[in-house]
Amino acid sequence: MNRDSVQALVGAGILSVAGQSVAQEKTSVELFASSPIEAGQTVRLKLTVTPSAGAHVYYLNPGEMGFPVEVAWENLPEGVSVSDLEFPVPHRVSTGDLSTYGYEGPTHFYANLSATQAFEVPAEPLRATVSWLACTDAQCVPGSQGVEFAWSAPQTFDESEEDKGLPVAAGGDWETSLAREGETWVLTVKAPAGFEFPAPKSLDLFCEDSNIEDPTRKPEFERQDERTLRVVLAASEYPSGKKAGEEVTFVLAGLSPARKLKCAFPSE
Amino acid sequence: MKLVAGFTALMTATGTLQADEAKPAAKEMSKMSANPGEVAPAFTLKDLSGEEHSLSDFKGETVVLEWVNYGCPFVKKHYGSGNMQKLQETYKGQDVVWLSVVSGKTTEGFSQSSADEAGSKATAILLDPTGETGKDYDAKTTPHIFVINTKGEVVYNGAIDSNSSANPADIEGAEKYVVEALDAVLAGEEVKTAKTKPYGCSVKY
Repeated sequence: MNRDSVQALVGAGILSVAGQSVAQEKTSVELFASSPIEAGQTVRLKLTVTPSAGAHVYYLNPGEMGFPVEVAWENLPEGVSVSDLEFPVPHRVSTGDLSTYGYEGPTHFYANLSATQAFEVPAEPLRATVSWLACTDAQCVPGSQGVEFAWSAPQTFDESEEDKGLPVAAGGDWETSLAREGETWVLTVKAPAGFEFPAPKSLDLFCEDSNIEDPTRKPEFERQDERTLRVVLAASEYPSGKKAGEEVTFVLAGLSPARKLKCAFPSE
Repeated sequence: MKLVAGFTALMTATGTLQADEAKPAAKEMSKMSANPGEVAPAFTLKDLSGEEHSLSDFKGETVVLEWVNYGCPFVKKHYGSGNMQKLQETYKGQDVVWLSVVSGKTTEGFSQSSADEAGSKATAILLDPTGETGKDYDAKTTPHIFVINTKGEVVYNGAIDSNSSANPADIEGAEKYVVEALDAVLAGEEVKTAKTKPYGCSVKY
């Protein structure tokens, strides 16, 4: 493993008050790539964020409080692009009295780094700043840390061992619909022929978008037949800001692999 | 150090919520709140000098309730930048009563020096050690802000602005929900964005 190629820079806390620095220093960040990048190629990036013991960081939709892990790429050269960060399936965590979604322990986020045919390896490494909010029993600490990607000799990981916790997009043979019924949302999912949903007690559902469902209430699952699932979600008390027809993405956990389900937002 | 003690007290226990412990979607919860359009829950709380303040004392006035813990990074975002104090001074100058409220375990060890260090310009800082008032309002985070009109009705419930980061540099570009609400109330107009999701540290009851 080439430790020189990808190097965590000195942590740069957003705020600094007594008692905060310890937890922040214990949150570590590492960046890996599936291979060096060459013109016309796409490589897989893996960002590993490890909060300190007892701390958690937050999902894309953090729930009642918090903000998600974010990456800001600072010097992307012309002809290079990076996809949005892909979040693994979260779990329900409580932050005090509030219901939130997040991760404890080493957590792997992914993205695709693509270069056009005209790409020429720059002299400078690619730099990014990773930011997060880590909450422990004692405190919540916003943190940030710089990472670098050495174009020709990155710290690598074995792509075949990519985290199994990453949800995969449901294929076009999955059917979804979302409807408002009073103070609830009803998500209906029809899986392709031959698929069989497991027992509802093993399922959970997360929404990538905030302010759709109420994080304090667990979804209710009803298996209407082997491949048709009806999920009732308490609606958020806050305006979603979504317009009719906009896309909403849910992650159905408890399947192997978890599925990303996209559906059109109906009129509220 | 009192600031640190207050900060530590605010932050809350972390633990995995088992699926069976979560509340089912279809069952109604009996939780008090202070939603826009509702009459603001009454309260009587003591300030740092022991003087009692009741919401009814301010009948006919516009009142802001701001849940606070000066050790919380999100509160520090707005106090460290001077944003909160500027709002407090600006609207007190327009006869708005600005009450900062400290709820639950955060009140332990809380003192005037905490408020002085933060540079608070609030009308008063009220202590809610039992958390009863915070729960009546369903105050979730610090900050969490409520605006009450001259009729005693809640007209705004939510975040101070639209950017939920802890970075003071994000204040300028954010949509200023509380400013918009107060300006509308003072102009006798309807508050367009009356409820938003608050952001910050959880209130520890």
